[in-house]
Amino acid sequence: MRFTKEGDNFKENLREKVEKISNVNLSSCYQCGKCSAGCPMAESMDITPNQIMRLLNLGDFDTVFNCKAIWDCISCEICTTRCPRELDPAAVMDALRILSKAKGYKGSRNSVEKFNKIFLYCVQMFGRLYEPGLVGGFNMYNVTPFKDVFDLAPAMFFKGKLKPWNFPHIEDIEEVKVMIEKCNKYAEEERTQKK
Amino acid sequence: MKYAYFPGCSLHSTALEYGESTKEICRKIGIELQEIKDWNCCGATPAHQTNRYLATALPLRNIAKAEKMGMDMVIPCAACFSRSKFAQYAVEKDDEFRKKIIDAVGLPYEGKIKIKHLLQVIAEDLGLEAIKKKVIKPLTGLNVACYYGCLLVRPPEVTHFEDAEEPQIMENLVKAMGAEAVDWAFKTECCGASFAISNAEAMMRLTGRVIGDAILNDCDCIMVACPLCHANLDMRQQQINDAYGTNFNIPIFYFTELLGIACGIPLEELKIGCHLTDPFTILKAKQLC
Repeated sequence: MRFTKEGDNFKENLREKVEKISNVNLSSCYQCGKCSAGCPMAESMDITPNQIMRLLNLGDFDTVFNCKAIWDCISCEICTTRCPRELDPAAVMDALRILSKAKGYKGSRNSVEKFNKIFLYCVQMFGRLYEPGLVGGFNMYNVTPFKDVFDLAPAMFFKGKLKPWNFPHIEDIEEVKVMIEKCNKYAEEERTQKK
Repeated sequence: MKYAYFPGCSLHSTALEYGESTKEICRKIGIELQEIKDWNCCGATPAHQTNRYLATALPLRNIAKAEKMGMDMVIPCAACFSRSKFAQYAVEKDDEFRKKIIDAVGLPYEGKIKIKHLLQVIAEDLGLEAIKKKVIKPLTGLNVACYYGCLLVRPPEVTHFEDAEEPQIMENLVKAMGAEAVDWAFKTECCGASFAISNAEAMMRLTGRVIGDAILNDCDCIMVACPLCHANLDMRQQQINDAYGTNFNIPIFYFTELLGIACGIPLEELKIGCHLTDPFTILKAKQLC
């Protein structure tokens, strides 16, 4: 375990970055465990939300950035709603996913991240979500080509819920693309800021 | 009553019955919806898990467009509602962040309009008394489990929904339609949302529990106000049965559909036939179709 006063973590001011991106003062957490008690995904997490808060306060970023739990979080906001210190653990999870991915931690290579990537690619391409493309693209990327294909897709098709020929279209797509690029630039600046 | 209408991506594709029933019921009860021109996706969960600037700018572009129309914004999708409320909240709190977001969006934004979920518009702006007057076919004897899900109610400081743990807005609406609301424990639990695609096992566990508890409390159907909740509870019910050996067969309705039935809109116009879990048996049993 590494502590904040030495090593790369201090140079890269990871703690400050987590706090900046999530807008949460980590040291306010008093470990009551209410976030983990309410979390619908806690049972399948390798470390629980309150343990993540504690590890962050101890400066053990490697464990936190590599854990499965940050990708198990569904962002249902139960923790944020119930936190007696009015902290926002759901936003901390977002910050951890962002930084874990940016720093190339192994834990960030998983199906949730693949889903996110394809979803945002759709939005960038069409300005809106193209659901058949999202599911199809995800199945290919995740190497689960037949997921939902035989049991769900035909029923949806015959009920009229699946219309692959119906591409979404917006006129100002260039405006949206410029917006996305600017957002990526701002986020990149925030992630790479040195002390 | 006029609103800038933001349907969201799902209502144009997999949740088309929600989109259709929303239009039908609003026309029936006198709410005028003007769709925001050229709206874009709100970014949903993938955006806020990837980039907080993007997660705020995407919905803010829609809000800025609604602001230009000079009307409050109404959103039927709980996820879009949550992201839009979050965007408004985030730029209110942080001036530096606000400047960057407005620069990225490239449209003027003042933050003067309100964002409401369709439930709030119907039950609060229009009011339950007005709804009662429009009900011509009360849903007598129908026991409804009202399912809010997560993003509609949480977190309260962002969504400003009446109560994060024990909301009553859907129950009150159900009673106004002449039906009974059952008391149950899982009404604000999460259904697993987009995990249906990226982590199906987790989604089935969470949705299975929600449906299981609703059935334990003797409901005839579950009423939802979110296309993702409907997708998981309705479309994935068979997959859950296959995985856990359960025999769930409970119809899932959007609140707009039940309200539409109560107000006498024909079922074909509400597109109820699109559901994957049979909705007609219970309607026939209660003599509603």
